[in-house]
Amino acid sequence: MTERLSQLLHEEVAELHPVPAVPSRVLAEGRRLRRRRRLSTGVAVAAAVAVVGAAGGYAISQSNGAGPDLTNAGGDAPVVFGVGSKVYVDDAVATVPDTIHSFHYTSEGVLVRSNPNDGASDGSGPETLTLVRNDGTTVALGTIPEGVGPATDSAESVYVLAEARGEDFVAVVRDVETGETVEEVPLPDLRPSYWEVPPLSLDGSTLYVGYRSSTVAIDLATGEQHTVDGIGGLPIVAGGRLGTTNREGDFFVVDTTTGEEVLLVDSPDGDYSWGTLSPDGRFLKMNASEMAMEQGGESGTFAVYDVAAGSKVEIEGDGYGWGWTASGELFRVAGDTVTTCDAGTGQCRESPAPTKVGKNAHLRLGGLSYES
Amino acid sequence: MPRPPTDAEFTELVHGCWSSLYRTAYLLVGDHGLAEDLVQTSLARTYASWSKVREVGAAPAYARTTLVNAAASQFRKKSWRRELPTETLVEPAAEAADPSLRPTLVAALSHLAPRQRAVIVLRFYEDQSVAETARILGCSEGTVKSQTSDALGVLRTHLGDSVVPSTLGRSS
Repeated sequence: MTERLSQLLHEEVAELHPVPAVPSRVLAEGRRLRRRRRLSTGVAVAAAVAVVGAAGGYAISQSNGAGPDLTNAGGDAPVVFGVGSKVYVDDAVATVPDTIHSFHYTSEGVLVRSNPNDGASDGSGPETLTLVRNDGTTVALGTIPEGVGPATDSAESVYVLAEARGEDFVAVVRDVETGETVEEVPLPDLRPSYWEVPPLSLDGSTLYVGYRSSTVAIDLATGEQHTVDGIGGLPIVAGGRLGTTNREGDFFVVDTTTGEEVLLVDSPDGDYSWGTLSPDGRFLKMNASEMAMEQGGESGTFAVYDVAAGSKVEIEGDGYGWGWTASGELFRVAGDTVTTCDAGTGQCRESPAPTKVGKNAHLRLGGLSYES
Repeated sequence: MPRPPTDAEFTELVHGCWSSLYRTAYLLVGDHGLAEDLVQTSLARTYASWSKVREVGAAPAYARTTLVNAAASQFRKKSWRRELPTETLVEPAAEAADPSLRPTLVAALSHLAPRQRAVIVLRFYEDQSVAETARILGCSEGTVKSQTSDALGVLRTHLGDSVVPSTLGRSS
């Protein structure tokens, strides 16, 4: 019954003369995609605990390791965003040097990284660190080299930087209100990742260090270490959970203590997805996939998963345009409106923004990573 | 970890499946430039996803699946924008005596939603089964059947009963 239709379809393309293939162009594009994927790729996970000794610990809470910390989950953390050099913390405003690159939540306020090159990641030059408290007061914390991202936890009063010591690296833990060093921890000498210093992530008292094909977890209070084999690159850890994209382009979340996969978000064949965990690790926001990004990122909605339950809600808009508050609420800023959404129910509310944000403004949101 | 293809192997693969993928892409998008872009992108993604493809023999099918899904995704936005309200409903085409007066097949395909178009191309051009079409598109067989029925109804409106008999599909 459909023979005529089938015949027409074949006739329609029978006389087509495709432009000749240019394999070198395809190979170049394929290599570019593969390089980009390698930057944040992990594989199947098996956590192996290897205690390697104790270091002198300092007073830091031990809220991670056994699942998400819900103590800060009341939805009362401020909305933090920046435009140019202005930092907005709810209704408080502060000015930092140059242009904002990224925000890093701490218990004492938000740590702001800024630089004179339009807040860029690549080609930033030396960057300035400033603590902006919730009341808008600031503490200047000096400068750091390009390519060094501070690791923080929204419940801790420290930030951690990886620094070279000769041919080795150490993690330097500093007080976020004074910049004073409170501890230095030697980092393992493993095959490095793609950055000049090992990328770090702080989750409670545990520091995660990314290498080429593994992530080492160091308990800053006890000095104990264990390795999450098979996941390398920039560690994205929150609430005892680590999220990354596997070689198939699917995003998955593992429990950093057991190594068990707790959530897998499939991508269609050939596509590649990125996700962002909420600062407390309870939720996963899936950003536009590689295909969607190449088509303008206007996928209509984005998914937010409750990691423990595996359930999800859909929220209108492009996931890249939404930040996280420190307590795990989603927010975006557009025009003169701040929209805040409960990541568990998808229910949203609007409030006036402290400043009007134009479409072409240099907008930076709290809870997002701006690394390249 | 499977060995990635050598440049020579991949070049041979590109030459071997380019024309076939291009024809499918053209039916999916109806535009030569876009079809070329789709084929190049799907083959590049195949190269980048080699750990999933695993061997050269499986690459053409993987590229085809990627191509179909990319086309369906790419045209979702366009199709929304094309849905403009009109004051009058389009009347089904009468059986034109002169076949040259009928809309071309590609024009008729443009009236389909992206997934419907993909279903039609996979089933009646690629000659894929309902089950295989469902696997490629990542949906249920029931969805493939309903999309096929709906799509045939739309195509009948634009191509007439002689191409799509009224015993097939739902009337649109």
